[in-house]
Amino acid sequence: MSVTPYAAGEADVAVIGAGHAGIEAALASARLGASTLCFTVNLDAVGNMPCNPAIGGPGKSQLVREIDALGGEMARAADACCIQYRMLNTGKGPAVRSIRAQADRRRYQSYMKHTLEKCPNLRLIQAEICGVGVENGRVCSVSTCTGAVWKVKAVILATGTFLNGRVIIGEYSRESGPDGMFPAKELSSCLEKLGLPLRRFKTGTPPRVNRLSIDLSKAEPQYGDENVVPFSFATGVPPKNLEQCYLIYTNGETHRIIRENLSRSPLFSGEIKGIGPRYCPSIEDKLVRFADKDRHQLFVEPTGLDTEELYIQGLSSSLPEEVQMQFLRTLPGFDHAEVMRTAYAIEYDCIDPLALKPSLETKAVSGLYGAGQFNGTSGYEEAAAQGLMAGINAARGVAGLSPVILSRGEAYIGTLIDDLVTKGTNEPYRMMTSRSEYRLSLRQDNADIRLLPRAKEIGLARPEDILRTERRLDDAAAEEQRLEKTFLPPSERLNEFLTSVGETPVSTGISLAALLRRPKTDYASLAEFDAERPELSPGTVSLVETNVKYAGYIKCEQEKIEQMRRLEARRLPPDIDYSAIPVLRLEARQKFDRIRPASVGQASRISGVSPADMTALIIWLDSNNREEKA
Amino acid sequence: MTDTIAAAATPPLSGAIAIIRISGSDAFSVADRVFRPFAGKPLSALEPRHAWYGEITDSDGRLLDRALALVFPAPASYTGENCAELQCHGGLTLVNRVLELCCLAGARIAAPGEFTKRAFLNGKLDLTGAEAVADLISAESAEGVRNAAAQLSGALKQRLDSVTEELLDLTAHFAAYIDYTEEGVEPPDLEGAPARLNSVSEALRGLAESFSSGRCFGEGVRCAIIGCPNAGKSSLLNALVGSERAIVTSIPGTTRDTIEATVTVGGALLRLVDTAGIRDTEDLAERLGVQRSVDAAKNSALILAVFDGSVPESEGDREVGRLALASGAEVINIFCKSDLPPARPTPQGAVSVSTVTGDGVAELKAELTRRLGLGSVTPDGSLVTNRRQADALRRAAGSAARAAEALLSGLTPDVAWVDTEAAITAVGEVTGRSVSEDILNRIFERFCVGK
Repeated sequence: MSVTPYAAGEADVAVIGAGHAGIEAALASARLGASTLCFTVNLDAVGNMPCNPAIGGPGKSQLVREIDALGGEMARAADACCIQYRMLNTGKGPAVRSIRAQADRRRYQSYMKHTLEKCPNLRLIQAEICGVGVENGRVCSVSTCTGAVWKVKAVILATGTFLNGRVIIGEYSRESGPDGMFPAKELSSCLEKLGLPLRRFKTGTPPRVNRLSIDLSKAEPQYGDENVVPFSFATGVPPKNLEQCYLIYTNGETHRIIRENLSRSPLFSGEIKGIGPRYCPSIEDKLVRFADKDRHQLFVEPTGLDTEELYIQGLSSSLPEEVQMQFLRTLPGFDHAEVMRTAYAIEYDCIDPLALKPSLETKAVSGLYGAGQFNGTSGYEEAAAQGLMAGINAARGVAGLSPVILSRGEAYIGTLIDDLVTKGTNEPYRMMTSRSEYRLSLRQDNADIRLLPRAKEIGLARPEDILRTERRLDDAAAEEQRLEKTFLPPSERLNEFLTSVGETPVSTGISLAALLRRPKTDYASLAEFDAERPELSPGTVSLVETNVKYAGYIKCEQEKIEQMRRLEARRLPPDIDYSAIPVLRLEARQKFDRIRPASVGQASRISGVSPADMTALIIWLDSNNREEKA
Repeated sequence: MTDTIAAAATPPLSGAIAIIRISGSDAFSVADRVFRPFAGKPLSALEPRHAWYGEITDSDGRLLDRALALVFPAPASYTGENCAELQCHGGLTLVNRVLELCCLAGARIAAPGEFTKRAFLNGKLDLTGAEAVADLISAESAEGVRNAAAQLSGALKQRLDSVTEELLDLTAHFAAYIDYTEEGVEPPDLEGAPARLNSVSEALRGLAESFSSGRCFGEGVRCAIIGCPNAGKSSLLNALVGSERAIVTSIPGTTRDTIEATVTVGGALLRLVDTAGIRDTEDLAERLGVQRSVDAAKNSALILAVFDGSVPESEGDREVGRLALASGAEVINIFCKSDLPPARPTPQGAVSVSTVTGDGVAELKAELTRRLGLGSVTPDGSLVTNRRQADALRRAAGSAARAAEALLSGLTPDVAWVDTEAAITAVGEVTGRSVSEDILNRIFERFCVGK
């Protein structure tokens, strides 16, 4: 029996999905004044973390800070709900320092659900969307499976792993969303009819065990930092560490069991066809690819304060349940481990991101945007970053404003989206610091400051946050100046200090900044020579210290960013017929034609495009311009 | 439709054979009007890509030369257009005359590099190829031609690939260590890394520096002849040039001050620059000329300091000596007029020459060859003969050295990583390899990372 459609109402923007992408999209859109609907298959899945109960990490924590700087929610929610914080890469340099925190899953979900519920202009609705209506190439409506038809002006697809989801555990498989949720089954065929190129990706998650069934006394505890650095620039009192993680290792017996059962893995039998991420391999994949390693490390992580459920990071698997049980019990202290959730692999539909514009709008349908795993990424932070931008741009589109497109030189968010829409991806895309060529400039400690002009332009950040950033900017600039201008005379004490840290002593006066630029000194250790030092927050100190210490490198990077800006400024006409440029190699012709880069800069980043192709394109453009003028 | 261009494809030296290339839509009709095959049919009607013997005649039907000619129909030609080639006897007057005939027949003289540009635009060459061909075109000596040809086959690429491998290894290790910080990646050997980086840097610098000897074959070594007025500079230039039958070219706008000529010595191309005489003067015009001589000396790789051996040492001679020393270039001291009674002894290491009798000219050439270090240089194609490539390699070497220095001075690895990446990028400008994907692939190949 077919469902009779009915007119349910009107709104500006509809967000399909309420995971990490959908939340930011819906909040950004509503807060910018667009009337917004947020649909989820299950209200209890809002802000769920079906995989790792953690936020942050290298590259990712930079994203979280940028989301915060632009007025997004993730950092605040994390600080309200995280139970253990660590600063990673502390010894490896300021560019790569990253926060990682364990979240209380349920608390995070209820925080986010409540935030959505309270948000003006926003309605949170449990429903499966089965169709997106399009008129004259523009989005006009969304329909639910139960017959509601909402008239809307823009739609954001943030479907995560729900879209045509299929869960695989060994020989068993079924249609399913993550964590036993219903999948969204109807929408894919509608999207394909609209001309969106869908593909299938795969990801996986490890088993969860009951803490009371294992003995953690044999595991190596991993404590949180003594001085917690929160994610959000707005968080005043740092969150407390309430839990810890544990480090354990697999062993020969674990490996033997896995190897003997490899034939039962759907990955190797061909049952799984989706493409999984290289950086998130299953344990069986690790054993096959690194056969000579005799052990692999695993982290045992808490999932919340009100539960005994533990997450075993590093043990994701799609082997049959029986095999999982066997190899789990070979782990130290796991002899009687009770599994609460079996590890599974999940396949889902997503879009080839080359079909997206840098605004995250689809090229095929105007007013239709994509965000998160739907765009081919992996990770909560990556999803939230895109959700934020899609929400901002959908609301701006409805209001008749041009989209905001962050550049690679401004933000990891810009890098993420540029990589997606320019290079595409053949596996779920994860952010890493190595993705950015401007790491020393795009740090987490300066995200608020470098994105201040954007925050003002977008108008999502609260006035008090803008004020705080402006103050921080002034404080930092004043302190940097003071360090440059304050000279110390050579003294015995100073030279003793310099010698003791392994630096050469001085014979003439030296500025505090010059001292700070010595590799083996730091801001704190210079305190005794700097009586007039102002009271600054730890965040501002870290900012000043990095800016001064790495000034030379940062300046070089800024020059590169400027060069890139010039290439970006060389716009490519949207109507170039690349197929008619004989000078380009066929591959380059096809790629330019498909991606339709907006600028010479973007064109040069397309994978498979060689410097020779770029020279050819530029020469062709030049000679054509000359001919036009002549 | 493209207009039809013609030019000598051989260098403007008086060689045994000159090749005139014609390319464009009307290339065949131009060739037919200039060249009459003995086969009795127009060239365009004969089998393409075969050499046909015939006559080049002027518009009055007068025989200019007997020559070979070939046609290459598009797209299977060097430029991808219809092409014709005339192989006539060398001699600048003849070549110019034939080119004139081509123009009368509907072609125009090609701009520098225009054939290569057309080949490039028609997808016949990639960038490396185009550059090597440009070198091939400008290579005015036999060794230069061999070098340019080897480069097309990628000998330079091979050497650079092994450098890239080493840099990728180091960079991927930094990246994995930092991006997969909790995943048990062994820390990179920060103490051993500087040595590896320095040897990479040296290898790159060596390649970049081979540019200067590469230049001997390609664009030539700039060589200034300085000395007091009447020391014998111009005679020396003529003595060197005359025996090599090179062309003396006047440089527009500087005719009063510097004269340039090219000459091949021991297979290397020298660009000789004759300068105004150096002396202290109040005359403004002459002072400007002297200043140009000083500039010429500073911009040269080699300086021939010329002294008149038949007169006692003057203040001007001392100034010449100071200038030569300050230039930082290789210097050869030459004492001219050895046919006249000497007024001072020829110092150790200097060459004594008479341009009147020709005595000492051969010794001077031997000295030139020795100083250029050509005896030991084999143009095997791994030499860098192009300024863009040398520049990129020099930057790569600098980045690698800076990374080593950063680690040695105790700076954090994120900074060293930035420089190793910069080094790979710079090498990639020469090899055309893209960086980021290479690094990622290497990480996943080498390290077991992933949660």
